[in-house]
Amino acid sequence: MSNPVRPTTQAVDISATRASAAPRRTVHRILSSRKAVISGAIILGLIVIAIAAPLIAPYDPLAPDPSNALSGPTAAHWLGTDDIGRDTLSRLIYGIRTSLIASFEAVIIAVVLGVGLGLLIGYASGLADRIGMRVADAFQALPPILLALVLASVIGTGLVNAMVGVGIIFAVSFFRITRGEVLVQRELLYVKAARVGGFRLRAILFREILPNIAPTLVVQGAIALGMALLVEAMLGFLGVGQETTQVSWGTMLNAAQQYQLLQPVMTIAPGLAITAVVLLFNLLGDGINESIGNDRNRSGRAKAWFVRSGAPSTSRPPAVVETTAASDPATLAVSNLSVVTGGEGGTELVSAVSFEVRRGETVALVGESGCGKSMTAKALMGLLPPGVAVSEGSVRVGGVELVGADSRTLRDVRGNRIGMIFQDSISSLSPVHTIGRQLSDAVRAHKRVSRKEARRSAAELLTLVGVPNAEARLSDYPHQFSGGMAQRVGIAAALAGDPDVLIADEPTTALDVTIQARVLDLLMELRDRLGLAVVLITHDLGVVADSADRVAVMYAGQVVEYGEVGSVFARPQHPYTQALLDASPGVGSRVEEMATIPGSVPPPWEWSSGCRFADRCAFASRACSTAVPLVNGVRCVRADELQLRGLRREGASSDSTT
Amino acid sequence: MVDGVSFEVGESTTFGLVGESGAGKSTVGNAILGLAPISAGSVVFDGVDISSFGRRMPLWYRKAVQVVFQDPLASLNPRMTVRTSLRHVLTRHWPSLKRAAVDARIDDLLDRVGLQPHHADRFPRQLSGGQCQRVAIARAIAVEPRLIVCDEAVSALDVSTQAQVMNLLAKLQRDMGISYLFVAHDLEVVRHISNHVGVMYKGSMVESGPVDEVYENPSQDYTRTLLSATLVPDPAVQRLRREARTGRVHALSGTGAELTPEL
Ligand SMILES: Nc1ncnc2c1ncn2[C@@H]1O[C@H](COP(=O)(O)OP(=O)(O)O)[C@@H](O)[C@H]1O
Ligand code: SF4
Ligand SMILES: [Mg+2]
Repeated sequence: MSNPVRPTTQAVDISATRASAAPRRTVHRILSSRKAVISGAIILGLIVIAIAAPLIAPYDPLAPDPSNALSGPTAAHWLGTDDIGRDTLSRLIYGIRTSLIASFEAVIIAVVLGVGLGLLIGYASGLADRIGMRVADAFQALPPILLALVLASVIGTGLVNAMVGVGIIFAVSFFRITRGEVLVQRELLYVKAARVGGFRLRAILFREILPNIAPTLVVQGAIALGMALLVEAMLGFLGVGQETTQVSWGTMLNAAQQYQLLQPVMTIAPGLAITAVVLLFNLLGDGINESIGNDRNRSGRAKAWFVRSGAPSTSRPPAVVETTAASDPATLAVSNLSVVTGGEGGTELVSAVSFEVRRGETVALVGESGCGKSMTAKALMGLLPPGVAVSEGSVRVGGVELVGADSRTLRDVRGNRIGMIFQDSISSLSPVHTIGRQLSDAVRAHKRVSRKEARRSAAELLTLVGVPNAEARLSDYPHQFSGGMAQRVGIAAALAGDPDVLIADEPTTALDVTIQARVLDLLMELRDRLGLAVVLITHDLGVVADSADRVAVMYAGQVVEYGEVGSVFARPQHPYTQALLDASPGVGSRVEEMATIPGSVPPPWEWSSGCRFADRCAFASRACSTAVPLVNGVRCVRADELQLRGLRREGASSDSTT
Repeated sequence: MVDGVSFEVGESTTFGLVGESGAGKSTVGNAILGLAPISAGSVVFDGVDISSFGRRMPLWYRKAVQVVFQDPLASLNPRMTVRTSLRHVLTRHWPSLKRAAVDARIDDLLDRVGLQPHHADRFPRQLSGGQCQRVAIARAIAVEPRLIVCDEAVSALDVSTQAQVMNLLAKLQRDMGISYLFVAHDLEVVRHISNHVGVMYKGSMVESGPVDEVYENPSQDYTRTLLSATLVPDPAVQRLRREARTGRVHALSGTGAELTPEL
């Protein structure tokens, strides 16, 4: 059970945290949710009122005043009085006390019991887990009110006892949630590392795992508080567990029943209060949930990506690299493409990138992560994340300009002219529909054909990408394909619109060597057979050497070297290309020390106006601090004088293939 | 899942384990780490059979055998700073260590793995992939282990970072005499770092021996297939390998890249 290679880019993307600013921790995120903050503040206010009830309430909530019974709202009694003349407002205020104490009691019991057991049993799994889940199932079937009633009759009446029962019932859902989360966390590497570290069980459960699942539990806690409050009110209404010295909204409702017509305020006031507070707790839970959810989604794929509509800015004249083949539908011509984040004057993520791919050709974009390869690809597809837009330049597919095009043109191009595959392409398919359905839908979106024909095309697509037994596999769901097969299905989906241009962003990064080779072979065969123009994005120079005709080496958002793969690798002219070659294992003899590039790719906001590679370049000189243009496919002021070594051939022995 | 796998990792040497995913490389690593059960056979460390430990590994074994995983970000607790993570490891194995001494050790560890003292107060998310991996290595060497299982430890890194981390591992081996079980799917990486190598296929080890011997004169077809599928940044070599493998891939599976003539 060895793990597939993980993405190199997204996982370690530190851009979100900007330099060394503190990471947005859960608390900060929650505080930035208006819903959570407002409802939280009101709840805090209620707690203060509950504590300060004797100071705030205008009357003793228990003192009858028969002369004033069933009064409506008056200046003396803002919300009127009840059947024996007790002040409704004061009773409401004292009722908050009862409600909150009761809810917190139940929820604290539930959390301590449920989370504790959930952690232990989830982590232990096996037999304990099976028994735990059976018991939980049995408990879950009981309505909380019923158990509270039973418990109250067993261990004695009183609100405290009743809420113990409610707490136990609620503990079951905390148990389930905790257990579920622990089952997930247990398999994560940091927990495995903790086990290998020899940590005690206690430390692993409470120090390592608990903080990571706490946000989910807090959400659950907020919602449970609301539910407990409701249960308390119901118990009060039923007249269970209440002592006469306690004021409860439920009891108030109960008393109001008979006088509903005489004095409606008596019913409305506690009714509204209960509804409002339950809602508040739900809002709080919702707000917290959303603010946590936002963070989780951030790593997922953004939904709406559009090239900024409206004309491209004209501050720099659009590049004039008109080519003879510009009208060939399978030609992708990118010139001076720049991508920015943060609107006008924002940070540039891709700077003036130009390259061209013709029918039957593969052009590779290569560079370390964070160099803007994926951002370039997304710009080509018109699929930029929100807040990111093309600021200038041009992208043409078969002569059609995409930058500034209206959304219909874009959609058309995206569906029919350009296809894209990712590192885990299959995850862009819906998990709930079969492959056959999704492929035929894609085919039908592109061509007017009958359902049956579309399905046949879908089967042909699968066969085309080398999925054995295609007909039968149409009824499988995405998750039923693994590794190389999944990637083939992803390729089939990208081909459903019969595109001319295929953009492949790290298509083999997650695959094993043998499967990687097969998928590359497939891509190249498809390229030849269907006459595709392929943009192959990778960080692996081996992939470039294997499959690309031309290569654009990218560094910090720019193309620093562009040319035929053979000549670029044999006689690189840019120090970064040379450094990448040197750092790749398998080139050169097995020297003890591998060549490295000091430091790392700077984040976009630190890109200098001079040569962006200067900080890490062994050849940097004073001349390098001025802006460096791309001249003859190289962006280095010293390109002519440097005699770079290129590939060290002697070690790259070809005899190992025999 | 895995059977009949035998090999030895000598003192201060590196044993590389290659093969496709699912071949059982990580399972072997996990068995040594006590993260996966051993049904038959034995893992003998310093003459002690670890299956005799029962469910809980003794602390001395935890101190002797450490791990560095593939995904550097995921292998650190997201809610702990680097300092906290390292401190927990140090105080677990040296409970009497004073706070100041712990901090001094942490500075020293960070220095050994090429990080700055200020990195101690960062959260994993604030570090790059390469830096996270250095932290994971710092955590592993914190206990002064004899063996580190490196499970695809450099696979998720960029080439330049990968080279940096490989150099770091080599340096630590020289300085501290640590042995590595180096699990990786990248044959060139394994070749660079290992003394001996084992090739795994479907749960068994089909070939093993000194690195140069296995790479230069593979005795098994499977090893040859793996080697021809390995990509090196040399277009000339790749042209040959591509020819070699397209022939072989077809012969092996028959489903490799059959194409229907028309879409
Ligand atoms: N949604 C985003 N908003 C702003 N910047 C981003 C966004 N996503 C990525 N970036 C930044 O854009 C730069 C280029 O990233 P990317 O194109 O993913 O690089 P590569 O694919 O070469 O690894 C990086 O510095 C990254 O941090
Ligand atoms: S311009 Fe200067 S710093 Fe930049 S790559 Fe060339 S020599 Fe190095
Ligand atoms: Mg990328």
